Amino acid sequence: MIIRSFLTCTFLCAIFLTEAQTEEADSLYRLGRYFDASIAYERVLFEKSGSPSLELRRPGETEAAGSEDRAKGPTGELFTAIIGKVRCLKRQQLFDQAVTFLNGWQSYPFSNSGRRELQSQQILCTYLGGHFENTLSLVDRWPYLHAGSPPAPALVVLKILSLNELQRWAEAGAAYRTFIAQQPAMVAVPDLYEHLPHLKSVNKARWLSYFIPGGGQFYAGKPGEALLSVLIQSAGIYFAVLSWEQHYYISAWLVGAALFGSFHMGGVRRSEGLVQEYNRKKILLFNEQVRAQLMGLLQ
Amino acid sequence: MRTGSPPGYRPANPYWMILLLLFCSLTPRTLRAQQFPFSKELRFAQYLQDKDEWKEAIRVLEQLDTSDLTRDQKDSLNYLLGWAAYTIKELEKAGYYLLSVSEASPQYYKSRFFSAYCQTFLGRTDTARAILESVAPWDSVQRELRNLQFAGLALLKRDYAAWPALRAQFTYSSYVFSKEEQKMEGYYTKLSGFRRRSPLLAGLYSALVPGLGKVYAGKKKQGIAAFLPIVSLAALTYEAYRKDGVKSARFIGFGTLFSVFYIGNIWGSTLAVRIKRNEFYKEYDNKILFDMHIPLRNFFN
Repeated sequence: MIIRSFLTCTFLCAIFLTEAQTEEADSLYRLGRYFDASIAYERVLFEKSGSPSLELRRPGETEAAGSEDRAKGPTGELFTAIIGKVRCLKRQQLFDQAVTFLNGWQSYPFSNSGRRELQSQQILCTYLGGHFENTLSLVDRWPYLHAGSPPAPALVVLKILSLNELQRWAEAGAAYRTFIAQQPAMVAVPDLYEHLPHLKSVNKARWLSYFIPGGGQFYAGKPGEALLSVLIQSAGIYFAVLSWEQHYYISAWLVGAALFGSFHMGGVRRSEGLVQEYNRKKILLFNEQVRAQLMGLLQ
Repeated sequence: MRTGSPPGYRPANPYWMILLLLFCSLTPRTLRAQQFPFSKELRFAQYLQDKDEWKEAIRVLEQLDTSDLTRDQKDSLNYLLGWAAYTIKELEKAGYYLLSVSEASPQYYKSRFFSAYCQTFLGRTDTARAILESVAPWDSVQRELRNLQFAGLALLKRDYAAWPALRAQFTYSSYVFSKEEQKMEGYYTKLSGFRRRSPLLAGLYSALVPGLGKVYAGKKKQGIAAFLPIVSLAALTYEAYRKDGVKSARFIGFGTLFSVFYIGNIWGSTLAVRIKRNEFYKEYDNKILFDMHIPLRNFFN
């Protein structure tokens, strides 16, 4: 009788301790101690993944009702710990680590909704990690992995944003329009892809700067810099000519011509850099507009 | 009659005893101890290490209360901590924990050798040597491995006098480090044959021909880069002197610029000798450290 009571007590304590671990992890997360919370969630996974009731099951095998379903579904402790750990890694900006971590749980027999949630998280972390090609690949694999269950709107948004980042405007525009068409508030939304960002040519800027001093900077949208470049190069030429006329031949070459030459070549390089910067800002602004609009729609 | 019990003694109710025992077992410290017993924590840390979560493993192990641990448990703990720190290149910590592993541990030799390597990498060659000297090798291969480490340390300290005795113990017979022994010989030849150049001479050369001191120091491109502007400024100064005289603003301006560049180049040439020497030594130090490390990994893993 005493032994039975003791064993019952121990069993109840074990359940209590596992739940306490999850609670501890949650409280660490709430305190902003993401590194410690991440360890605490991993501890839950360590404890739970070795548990006999959660061993891997072959596809097609009947799932027992009750606690197993709870553990495998989106409300189970194991699942909660995985999502908790991913949240911690995201908070620490460790997106690649989160992707690797989620990869390790791909073959675990979670419920369908659980698997979908994990893959959504993986796609999000891949996008946040700046791996846009991989994001697209993961989104494209969705229909094969989850037949009959279309990707969540947030994933379609990630696909559009990834295409934008890769400057695949045509594909991004098509996906964007399809997405907008599915939204109930489509009437009020302007089509951002009607006015794609107009990018400037780096080559054109370079050649302009070669033949017209300051021309490249002017083309890049920096008239002030263009004027300064013209003035300095003119001063170099003026000094060279003046020195030559006054028979200061060495000064004419080594000061006047050198000043003109170095600022001329510097101007060419500068104009290239300015155009690249201009294009980068344009793309960033456009992507930001698309992101803001799509996020607004999602909310 | 029972002996040892005072008169009127009544044994306690067994239910109360169990309740008391349960209460004691639920005090915070023991609750934690039960929740995270040492062996389980060790398994958890190893689980984290298997997942390449080294920092997390270190945090778990460092949080353990070591006051009640046996020597074996402390050794396991120190070894795991040291190895995790070594893996993520926290060498200060790694050296400390690995050195704390006692002789009774099966990981003692590995810990000592790697602790010495950590100290070597941190530039503390004397400490590393002392750690290696404290190890009594159990066989000829380990003795030769230790000798290779000593040879590396001697080269890092530029202690060329110690080299012949260490070199004499190389047998080149073990596949684990025969290549490294040959490489060490090559490093010795290069290091001992390195011609130390004189900063004074470099400065003198640059005074005669601007940039020549840098070429002498082994920095040819820098020498040419220094030569061109100084000669240009010299030409401008000469032109100003010939046409306008010593008191002209043009001569004073160009002359000042020339002087600054000329003197700066002489100073730079003296420094270039030291910079080039440091670069050379750094390159070979990295090679030596690498070839000290590879045999350790091959031998102990």
